[in-house]
Amino acid sequence: MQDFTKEGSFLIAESGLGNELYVFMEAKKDHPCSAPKIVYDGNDHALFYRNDDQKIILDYIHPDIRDKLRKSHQIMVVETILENIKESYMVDMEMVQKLPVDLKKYDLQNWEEASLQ
Amino acid sequence: MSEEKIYECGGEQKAEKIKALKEIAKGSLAMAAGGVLYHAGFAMGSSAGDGYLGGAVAMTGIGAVLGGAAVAGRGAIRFVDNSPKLKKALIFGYKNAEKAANKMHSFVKAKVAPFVKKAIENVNTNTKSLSDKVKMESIPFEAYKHNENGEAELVHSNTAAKVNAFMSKLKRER
Repeated sequence: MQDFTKEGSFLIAESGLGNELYVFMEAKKDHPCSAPKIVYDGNDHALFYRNDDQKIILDYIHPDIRDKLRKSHQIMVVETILENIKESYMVDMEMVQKLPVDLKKYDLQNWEEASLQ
Repeated sequence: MSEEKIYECGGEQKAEKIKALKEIAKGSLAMAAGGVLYHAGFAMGSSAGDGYLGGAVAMTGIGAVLGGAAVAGRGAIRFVDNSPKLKKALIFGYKNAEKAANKMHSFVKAKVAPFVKKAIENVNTNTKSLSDKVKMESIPFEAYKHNENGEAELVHSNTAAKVNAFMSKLKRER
């Protein structure tokens, strides 16, 4: 089973009405599977299962958007190359109590710990 | 209808910002210390009559101010590169700093102000070159996406409009 990669740099946009979320990230190889999903526990990081071979940690999610992300059922992922869009697709959100991955293995802390270093 | 909001996430952006903030803080401290030394040297030179010692202390202070400005400037450029919104605030701050600088000693004004100005120019140049690069390489977004078979499908027009709105906002902020 392939390990996760860290996204490192991405944006989460909230529509004016506040009921839709968009994740803007760098374009990836190949296409997502028919049912990509994001697994989230409401804290600092989320797991994005793009397809069978691409599992991505969306690390250090901004604290101000976590609550809305936690309450979302679906979000739009937009993959970009510079300012051009490679593809965009809806992704289901799956809420869990705890992420099924050892975050220490990927040298991930929480937002506050990283700020205080 | 309220405005769209964009949140920066990810460890790389966060690490860069923290590093930049630390440099700004470090540079500002050096500048403050330099300012104290400069004034102490000036006072020694004029009131105590020890011109050489006062001059040396004052020059040390000026060196610390310039060194601090260099570090702070580098931090500022890195920070602004990661936070385009701050660019306007930084330029606004510089303009006010320039007004305050007019009240300072002419030597400090002559040496420090152009240095800070140069740092701001560097920010402008970096931003402009990035903007030119993006403009040259941009192609219009056609509201299509690829399905799992690799075929292009039309994205729902509302969704395409919203995605385009966000892309325009990102371009503006850059």
